[in-house]
Amino acid sequence: MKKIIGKVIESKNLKKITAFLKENKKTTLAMLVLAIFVDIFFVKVSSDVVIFGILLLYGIFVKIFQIKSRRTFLLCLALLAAMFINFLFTGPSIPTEKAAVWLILFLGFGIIQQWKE
Amino acid sequence: MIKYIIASKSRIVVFLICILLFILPFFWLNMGEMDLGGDSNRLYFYDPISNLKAFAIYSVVPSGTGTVSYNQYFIPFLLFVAFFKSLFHSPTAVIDIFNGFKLAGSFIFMFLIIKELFRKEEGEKMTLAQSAAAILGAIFYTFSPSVVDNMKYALVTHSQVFLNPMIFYFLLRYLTTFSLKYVWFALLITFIFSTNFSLQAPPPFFAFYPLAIVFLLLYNFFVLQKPIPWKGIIVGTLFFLGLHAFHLFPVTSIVFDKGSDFNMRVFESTSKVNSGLEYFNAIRGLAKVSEHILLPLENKKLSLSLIIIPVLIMLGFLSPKRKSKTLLLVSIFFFTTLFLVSANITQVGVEFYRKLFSIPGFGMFRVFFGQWQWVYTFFYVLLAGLSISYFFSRIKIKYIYLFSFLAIGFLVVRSWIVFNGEIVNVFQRGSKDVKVVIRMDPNYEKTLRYIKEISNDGKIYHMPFTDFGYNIVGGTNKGVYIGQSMISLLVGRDDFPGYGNINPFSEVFVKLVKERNYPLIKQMMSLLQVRYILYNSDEIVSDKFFPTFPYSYTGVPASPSAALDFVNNISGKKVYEIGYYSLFEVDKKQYLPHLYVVSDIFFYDTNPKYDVEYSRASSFFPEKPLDGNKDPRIAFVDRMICNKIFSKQICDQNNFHADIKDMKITYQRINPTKYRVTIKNATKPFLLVLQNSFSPHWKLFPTNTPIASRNISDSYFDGGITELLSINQTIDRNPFETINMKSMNDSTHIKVNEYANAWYIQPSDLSGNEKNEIIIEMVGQRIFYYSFGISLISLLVFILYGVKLFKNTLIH
Repeated sequence: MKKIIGKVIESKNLKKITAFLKENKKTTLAMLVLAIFVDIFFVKVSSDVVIFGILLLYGIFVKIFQIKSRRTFLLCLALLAAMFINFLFTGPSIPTEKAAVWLILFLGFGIIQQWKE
Repeated sequence: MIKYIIASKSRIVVFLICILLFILPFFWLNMGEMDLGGDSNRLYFYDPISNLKAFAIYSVVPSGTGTVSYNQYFIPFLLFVAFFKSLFHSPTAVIDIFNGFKLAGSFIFMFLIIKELFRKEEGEKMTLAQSAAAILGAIFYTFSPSVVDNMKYALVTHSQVFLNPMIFYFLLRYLTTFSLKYVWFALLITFIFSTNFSLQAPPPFFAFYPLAIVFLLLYNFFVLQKPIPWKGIIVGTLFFLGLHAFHLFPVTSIVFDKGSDFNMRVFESTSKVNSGLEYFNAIRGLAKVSEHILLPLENKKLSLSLIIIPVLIMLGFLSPKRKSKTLLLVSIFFFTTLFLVSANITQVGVEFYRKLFSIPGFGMFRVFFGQWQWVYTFFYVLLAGLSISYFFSRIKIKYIYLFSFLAIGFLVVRSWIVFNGEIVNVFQRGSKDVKVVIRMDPNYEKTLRYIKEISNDGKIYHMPFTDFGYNIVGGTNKGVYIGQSMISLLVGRDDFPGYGNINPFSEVFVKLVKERNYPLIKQMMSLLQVRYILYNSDEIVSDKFFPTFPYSYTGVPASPSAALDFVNNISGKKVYEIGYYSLFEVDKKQYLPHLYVVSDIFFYDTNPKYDVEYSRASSFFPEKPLDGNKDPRIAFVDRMICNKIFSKQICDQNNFHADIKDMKITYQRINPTKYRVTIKNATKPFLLVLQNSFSPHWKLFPTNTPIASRNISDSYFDGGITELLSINQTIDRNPFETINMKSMNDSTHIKVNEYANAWYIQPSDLSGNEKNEIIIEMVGQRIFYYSFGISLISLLVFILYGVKLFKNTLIH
């Protein structure tokens, strides 16, 4: 297993992808944040694949881009604002609930990240 | 003490807030007003001693069909309330004091806990940032929905809002100081408020304490880095078990009794239908993660103030700081409890939650957002306190003041109902502006006294008759009490105020009411031992003011005139009247006393359609009433049970006639768990019925001692049954008289009429004399006597231990 992971990490393609992502760090992160907000405001159904997929992706980006927990907490602040505004206008509707779940997951992620820093 | 307070500005502020919170409830109610209703009622504030005598000493519920239930966990609490009542003589003042405890206690102990956590973080001296954060956190807790929204219709366990932080604080102090006096204080509080530590109402206890103790142990291990305090754990556990033996042991003894409430609660997950999981699935959608983060109050969902604390928490996380193990630990518990209280965090989370219901006993958390709310709020506030202090420690002092005042201002405005009294001065749900707060009607008090003086033990049917099982009584201030029956909980007389109490006849009754089938209603009342009908003509309790709740389902008339018409159709003469209250007596020929010998047994097969709570009597209840001249001493026996005592030939018949013409029985109630019976001329087999809910703990004991006092209360069926004046001992003067006696006829102890106890007795089972003396006793009560003894000894040792501890403290 370790050998396989080692080979994947060492592979040229992965290095290319990593380099590409590093070059377009801001765009990549913006896309990810955008995906979260699209999920909150425009997608009616809730999918674990999407949630954990994005979280996993964010975890990878944290590793690649060396993102600090502070950034994660800033994202949480934005999610909190989104949840609260939604709550004021629509009550505990689907978008409000989705924002709340994203907020909790990223807050948890941020705390672990902060502990590891 | 005063010197200690004025030594620091923050202490003065905390002290003043505490005093303010304590006196606030004194402005909620005017003198004489009481807020007593709700699912678990608070009649103990009105008359704690009557409540104690009627409800808490004996293990038979004084309501409906008299089920076996161990309610002794109320004893210390009721005595504590009675102590305050004896000091202030006013139920209003006692209610105010207990509400004051809730608000001030919540605040001060949350403040102290947060302060204690800081002590380890930063050292002994508290900074302004920490003081402000701790005050803010404590106010956030005090004005949270868990404290404020549950103040109306408060259950007895609502005291957990200050008990949980208080016990937690004492245990935390013990861990940091190793001083056993904190464990002693914690144990004393658990004993006084034993209602919060009972297995009869377990969710509040099991939702908070296991998590709190795990937190404290982890805190001790990872943060304080101290060894496990075995001494405190052992001393605490032993004293806890000893002090609480009087209610823990009796309830634990029935955990394996199939059919007992407690057994059902623990093992329902393994029964054919997991009602806990089904209930969870049904209500899961009601839990909202966003509401648990913002914590809006029930009547003020939309408010800008909701965001202030979450934002300060986020700003705390954004502030650079060194690693904090305490914060990590608190965060873990915050996320765990948030998951438990909201359930709806991802599909994987929901599936995992469903799996938790296969743990025996987890079904008690089926109303998960209600049961976990206190522990969640507790850890949320700890997180808020810690996090906000990090933020405050990074900003200038003037901004600390600005943010603190802003946040407290927002919280106060949001919780204005706490200040203007609307927290308890609410209207009854479903009513046309009828207040929850009442002033007791003196005429109703007189009616209660009259009922107390009635010498026979006939049961009372209420009119109006409610859905669920609520008693509804008007006050003199146009307020209405809706809660458990005052007659059962203050007088100790069995009664039927609503649908739930007439189980297993509930659905039969609904059908009969629909058909206005008065003869059959009378027959049903006979099988429930109803002798009186209490008619309340007060318009304020009628459907004019309560158009839907609590009268929508049963169909019993709820307007004064229609209700009176209904009463006249099912009763005989009026025996008492004062104000709005009249007591009618049913036709004595149809009345079946508490104990009777059966003349006709009817056999039936249980219809699976009716094999559920509230409709079981539908399997046997006749379509036509008995002939008016026929002996009403009948019993209905399931054919499956019949095979246990009769031959197949008899059971295959529709009914069986027993020759009881010459038999005479005399009975006397000693207390709700013990009866004396004299049986004369029992020459043929007979079925003796005790109209109490069936329990295998009811036993017959033959005795040679004759009944001491033979003053006759009433006589029925031409002297066939004689009821002697009840002794009604508050405390049984001879609690162990049957201890060396061998019970008789246990194998022929059966359930009749789908609820009552009956024994099929052969003449050979008796001594052979013309006159036989029997004691009927609910032997489960003995377990209470034994464990009460253990508790008394433990209390004595506990007090002596306390004296020793404090003497040592003074010496040092």
